[in-house]
Amino acid sequence: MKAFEMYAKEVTEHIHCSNKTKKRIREDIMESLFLRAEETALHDPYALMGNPKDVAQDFILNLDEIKSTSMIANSYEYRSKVTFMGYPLIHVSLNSFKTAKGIIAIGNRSVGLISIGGFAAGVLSFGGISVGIFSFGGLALAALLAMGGLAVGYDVALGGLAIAYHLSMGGLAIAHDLAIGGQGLAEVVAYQQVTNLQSESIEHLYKIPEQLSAFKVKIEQISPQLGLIKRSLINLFINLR
Amino acid sequence: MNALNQQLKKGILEIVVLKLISEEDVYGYDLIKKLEAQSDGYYSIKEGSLYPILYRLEDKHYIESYSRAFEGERRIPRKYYKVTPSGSEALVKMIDEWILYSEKTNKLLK
Repeated sequence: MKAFEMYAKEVTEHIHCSNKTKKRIREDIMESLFLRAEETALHDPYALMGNPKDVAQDFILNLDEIKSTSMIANSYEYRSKVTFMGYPLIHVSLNSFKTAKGIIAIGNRSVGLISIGGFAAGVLSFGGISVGIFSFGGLALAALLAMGGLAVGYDVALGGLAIAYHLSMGGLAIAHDLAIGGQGLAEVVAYQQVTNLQSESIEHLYKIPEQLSAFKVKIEQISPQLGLIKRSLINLFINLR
Repeated sequence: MNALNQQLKKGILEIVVLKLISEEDVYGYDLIKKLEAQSDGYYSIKEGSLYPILYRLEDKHYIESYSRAFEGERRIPRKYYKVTPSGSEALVKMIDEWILYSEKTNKLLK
């Protein structure tokens, strides 16, 4: 069963078509393999159906969908021979139908430890839309650090609009704990522009640069909770502004 | 010559496959065997040629598929195809078109 699944998957990997069609092909190949196996008592899919590339080639020649997307089918792909746990060290796929998956993945859609793409997901991800532990992009969503036009992070977010639970820094910074920016909303806020966001209900409110010294004292007070990296980021951000 | 043969077969296979399905509900691999047996080996095709035809016919709503499970060792059900009313109508038109095409072509080639 597993060998048949792997074989069917291998066939569809050579065919650049929609996921829906790939699923259809996989199911049909699986069925054919089972029937051929019943008939011949063989269980090796390669012996039953031949080279997956040849099977894929047959589909490619006959699928209407491929004919209408032949330009996309010919788009660039590189897969390094070095692999780790079954994934290539580097996978580059500029094919709209194929997600780049690798330790380093680059593509329109990419998934990897280091992931770069229009839509990128990974531990360290860069992209138009990026999701990960550390994410950088137009829209960045991250567990630890998000940087981007719109940055949403659990720990730290930096961006035009930065939203985080612990620390946000940006044009408009919103956080539960600490927000620094043009305007801010959090328990502790350092801001530059007066707006109705800075209501009196915020207990620790500092206008920068006028109250910079007081803000730094506050940062020192809460510094054990912040840690070295966040303190460095805060100092860098304040000095840049 | 082989390329011409392939092109000719490609054009007619859709009609032939639809005709076989119209005779009785059938699954993909069975179709491959029937095509070969009933054409004395002339239509010997593989999955990569058959299934795209089935996808086309299904997308045009000429055929429908349904699953039939079997008891025993088989772990996946068989997918059977049956012709739809619009498929039956289309088949009649296709066969008429083929007859006209072959008559005119034969006349020219004689």
